Amino acid sequence: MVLDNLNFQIKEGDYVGIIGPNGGGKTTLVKILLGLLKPTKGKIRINNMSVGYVPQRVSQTYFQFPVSVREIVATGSTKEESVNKAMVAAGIENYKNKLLSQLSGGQRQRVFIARALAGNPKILILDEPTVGVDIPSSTKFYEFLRDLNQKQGITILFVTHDVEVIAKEVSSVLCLNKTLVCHGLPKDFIQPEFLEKLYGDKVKFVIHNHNV
Amino acid sequence: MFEIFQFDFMIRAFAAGGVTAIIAPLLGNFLVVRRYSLMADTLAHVALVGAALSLLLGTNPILTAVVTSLVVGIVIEKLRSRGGITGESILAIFLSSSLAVVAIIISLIKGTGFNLSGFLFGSIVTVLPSDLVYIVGLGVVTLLVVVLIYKPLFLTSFDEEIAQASGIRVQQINTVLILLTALTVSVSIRVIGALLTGALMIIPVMAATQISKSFKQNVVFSILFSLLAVVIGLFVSYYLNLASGGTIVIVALLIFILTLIVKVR
Repeated sequence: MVLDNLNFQIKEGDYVGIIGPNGGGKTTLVKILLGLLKPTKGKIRINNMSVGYVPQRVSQTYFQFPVSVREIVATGSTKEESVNKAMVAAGIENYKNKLLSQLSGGQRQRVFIARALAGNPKILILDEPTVGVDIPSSTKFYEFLRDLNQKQGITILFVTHDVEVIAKEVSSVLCLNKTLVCHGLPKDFIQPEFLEKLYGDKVKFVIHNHNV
Repeated sequence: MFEIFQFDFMIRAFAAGGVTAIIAPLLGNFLVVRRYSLMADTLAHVALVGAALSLLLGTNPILTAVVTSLVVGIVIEKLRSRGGITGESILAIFLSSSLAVVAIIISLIKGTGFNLSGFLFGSIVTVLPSDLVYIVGLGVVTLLVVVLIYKPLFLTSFDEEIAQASGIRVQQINTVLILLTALTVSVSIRVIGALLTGALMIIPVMAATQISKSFKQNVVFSILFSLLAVVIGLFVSYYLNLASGGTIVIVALLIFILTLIVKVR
């Protein structure tokens, strides 16, 4: 059993960070939410909203065969207009005719966000979106996510290992370790004692106080 | 130079070759993307079993090849999706077993004048008017289906996970791709032969990848390269009296080498 006894609700417009140790069931939860895996027991209810998904890793196939940025974004929608709008929103309209293999890690990640946005999702689910992305691009990336959440009202769920990002960005945090360990405001749970319990005491956490 | 077109059989050869040149690399693109290159060869050998069976049963060789490779294609996909055996070894098993079955059938029908080498290496100049009807019909069906399911087929080939998360029935798309491949190899077995069909599905595609700037461009270039290979190959084989299937594939190979040189420069 990867995950057991999970029960939570997410409100429309929430910005949720999912954290927890490796093997704690984060990716499994994402796959269940997307309908890629079926829970052995229980139900998932998503109130009839379209869900956009950005996977953990960009499939290697995209690099071994010519495929343009535009072609990937266009798989997200049948409407030309939505595809163009999504590319503008993700700031990739200048590379639309480039091959995916010519882009940097941060730009690639935006291509897949644009693909998800093209379907006009109400919920966006991202699995470790900034793995392999350098720090400046990652900072910009979270600004972009915040905008999507605050200005366009898209509900966002993302998995991350970056506790600092959680402390600073999200409106609520979900901690998973085989079961739901916490769900609430980041200020209540992003605390050294709690995190050491979640990840095991071999990890020491130092939380910086950023006044954003 | 164009007295070649005085002969009906050469006109049929160009027509059958043209249809094959369009649909073989069209599907080849999707096969190469998902590292399924061996699928074309395997189904071509299965189609050969069908062609040999047609002599035992007295049925039309192309239609029998179509039915045989469709049935086996579905079995292969079922075995693959069930897991346990890797896709590659399933293909290898079917590839060699098909040849074994062909060998047995040939020993059974010895002396009936079965033109084995025609099916192995193609005998495009012996395409009959009735064959041409099937070839064109199957070609049109294949082309239409690919156009209709282009987007889900594209996404499934590149990224099954995203495709599934977008609500695409990945399993069905995979099955359709295999069925189309089965149709295509059954058609092209007559034109360039069971042993060379895989080449026409893969080589023009690889040539295109050297210069394409998108997947769609790759599809278009691969079809153009393969048409070029078939036309040049038929001319050369006619005037130099060479095997047509072999000549077509060698022309495709030369085009591939040219694109490699263009890319390096």
